[in-house]
Amino acid sequence: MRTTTQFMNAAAMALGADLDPAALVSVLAEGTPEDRLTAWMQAGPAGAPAIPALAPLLDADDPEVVDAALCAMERIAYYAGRPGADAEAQAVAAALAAVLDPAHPKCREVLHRLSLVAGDGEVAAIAALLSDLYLADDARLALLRCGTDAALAALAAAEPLPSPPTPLPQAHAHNDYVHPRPLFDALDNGFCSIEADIHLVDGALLVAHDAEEADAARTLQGLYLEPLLRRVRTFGSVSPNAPTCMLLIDIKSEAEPTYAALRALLAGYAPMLTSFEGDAVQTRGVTVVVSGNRPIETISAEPSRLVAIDGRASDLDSAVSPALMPLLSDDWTSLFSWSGGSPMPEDERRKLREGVARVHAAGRKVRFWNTPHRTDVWDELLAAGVDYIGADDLGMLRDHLLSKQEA
Amino acid sequence: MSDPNKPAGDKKPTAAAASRGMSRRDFLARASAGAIAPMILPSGVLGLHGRLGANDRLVTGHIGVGGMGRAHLRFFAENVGAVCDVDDNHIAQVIEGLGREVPTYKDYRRLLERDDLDAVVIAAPDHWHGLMTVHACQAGKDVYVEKPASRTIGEGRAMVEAARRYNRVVQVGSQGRSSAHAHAACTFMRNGELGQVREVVCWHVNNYVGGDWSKTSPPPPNLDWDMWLGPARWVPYNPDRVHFNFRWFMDFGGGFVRDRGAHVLSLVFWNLNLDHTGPVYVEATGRPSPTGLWDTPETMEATWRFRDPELTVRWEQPGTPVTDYDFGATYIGDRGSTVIEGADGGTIVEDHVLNYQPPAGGVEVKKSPGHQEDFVECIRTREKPIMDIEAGHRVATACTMANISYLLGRPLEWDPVAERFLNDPQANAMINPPMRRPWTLEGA
Repeated sequence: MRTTTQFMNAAAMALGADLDPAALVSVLAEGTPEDRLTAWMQAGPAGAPAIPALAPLLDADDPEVVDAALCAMERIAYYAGRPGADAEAQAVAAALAAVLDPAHPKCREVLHRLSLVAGDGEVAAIAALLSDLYLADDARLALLRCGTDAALAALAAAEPLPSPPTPLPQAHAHNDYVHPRPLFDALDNGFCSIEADIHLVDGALLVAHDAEEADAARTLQGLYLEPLLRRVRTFGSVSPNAPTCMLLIDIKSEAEPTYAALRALLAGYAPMLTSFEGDAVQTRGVTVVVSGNRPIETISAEPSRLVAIDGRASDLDSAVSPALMPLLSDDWTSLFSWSGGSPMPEDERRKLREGVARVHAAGRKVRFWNTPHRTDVWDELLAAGVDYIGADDLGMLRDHLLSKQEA
Repeated sequence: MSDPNKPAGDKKPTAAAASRGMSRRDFLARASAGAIAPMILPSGVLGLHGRLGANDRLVTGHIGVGGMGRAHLRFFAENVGAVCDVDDNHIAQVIEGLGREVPTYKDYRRLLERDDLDAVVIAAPDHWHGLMTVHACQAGKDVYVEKPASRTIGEGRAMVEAARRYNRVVQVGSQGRSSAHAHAACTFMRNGELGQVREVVCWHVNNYVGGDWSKTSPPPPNLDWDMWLGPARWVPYNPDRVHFNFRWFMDFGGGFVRDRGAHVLSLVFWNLNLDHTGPVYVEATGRPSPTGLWDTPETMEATWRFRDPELTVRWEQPGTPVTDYDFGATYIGDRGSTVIEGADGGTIVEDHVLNYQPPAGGVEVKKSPGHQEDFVECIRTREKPIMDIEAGHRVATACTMANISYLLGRPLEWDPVAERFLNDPQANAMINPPMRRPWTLEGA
């Protein structure tokens, strides 16, 4: 609740009176929108001491509070950058560099504000970000804005810079959790679909292929949901410029109790999850599709959901809404005999293409598992319009899809 | 021409329409029916390359076909040879409207590679104007680029240099200069009927406020978000950032002081013969909205001072409207004053100004046949159009300077010859900020 003292602080700031960082932060965190505005507009003279006090506000749940803190930092940077205030600018730059955290969703915003006042003292801190896949270009822009010889030299020394991966909407990471860096290896290769097998063990949802392999330290929450949430807070989607990321959760343990635990867990991540209300779909950063032991009746009966159902080839002519069942998946080897290495038999090619067209006509997408890990097979899948191509060798599929984009 | 992006709440007839006793519906119908017969250019008039489109017909490429881009498509109609937009939905809509297939692109660089295009019309958001115009000039195309000419001052100067280096016609879409009313006002003032104009006071409705943070999401499949952002700093997609909403972001648009400011100041610069120069001082303040995604301030007051002759121009949002029109300007001279409502296609001036006839031997002012018509005519003659890129750059510079002063929170002094701020490195760093990879104007 806003206190009289806080209100008076905001009013005092409007008059340009002495600025107390704690009071500034208090108003930004708890004041009315009008008080927040008054406070950040007058924040310039608060200077370097206010920066570390403002930084925790970047973790606020309310985007208006986060924005107000960033606006205050910007005002401070511009004020300190006025002619004849070099010492002040250096202090503000040092303070901003000190709160620069590459793991924080707002790092690029803090970096931009730092770039407004940065000098040689901050070059090392900025240059350290030039190797970050997702922050390299923002660091480059900051060094160019800084513009000193040292900044330009640091930039030249770091060339060529890494680039964020090109999103590959068709790339599906089969059994993603077996990779050295679950989730991140796939995302860094541009994958937009991730598969995780889950088991309900002693009330916890553990990620593993078999129950015997389940490790209490490898939870769905820790390996996937938490890092995905940080990514969505950073990029609005799981990766920059990428469509919604499909998290294909393959339930390996008993359907109903596992789904009940999953539903309860996902509720805490609703802001990043695509939601379904009947046939209405609100697409967000992560779209969860349940596969494996699917409690179809339970999910179908829910008026409001955070998951959809993975169908099978037998659902090809199903009347189920594509909002409930947006994807059909099936075993390639049960439907096709061709495994690559020779031209695909025409009858199988026709069957594939006609089947994919029927799935698409129903408003769904299509995926096969057990597809041969071969580029000629992938080419046939792509030519037929198959929406997701599963791969264990992430780099091989990435390179092939990129080569098709460039062609 | 009306602005198709105007909000539904803008229900008043345009000043020009009203002045002709024409309802807004009539005016819009006439504007939308303004597609003219295919424009044919005599052989050998296309300048640098000396090449023509098929059947000697002017062939145009259109980059950015939402919003104002649609209006240009209606005008060029049969001359349209290709369209480009980063939103598939826009492409589909305009193809349906054209009623015929034309080549379509998401990447304007591919469109510029076409040899069959003589000119391009650029109606992408402001942050794209500089790159697209420079690249189009390099590709040998004449350019009609929407206003404001550029997002940054440095981009504007690069556009001028590219137009001159590659001998291209570049018309900026401040179409008020092509209205009969604006021509009358310019003739009136250039002949000294107000004496020395010492002050211009502009009014304008406030900037829109809003933008919903919670809409931040993955970009929809129809939109190439990376290409929409282009040279701008990377930010997450939000539908409240794109299409007409870009106006309310400093990184993309910059609010009404740049949008309509590019109309109002276009007439100020034209009427007072300032197209070659700029102010020497600017100070701007504003009040942002307490909430919302958009970062341009809701209100804004900017003051520019010019030297030789002394002149003060004020931009006031909301200011004190002299009429019930959304925006306009009062010109105050030492022999009188006059009001110009609007400044775009809806410009209207007082009757005695409209009916003014210059004395024998008086100053004659170029009379445009229409803004797009003037562009087409200049493609033929290779003359500079009425809103040549130098004027467009100078006008956009003044508008952009106001936003820089607002952001920095301090007044700024400007050298209009060197095009640099005086004694303010931080302000100078905002003249030509670096672009996101791979975009650059270096070497252009």
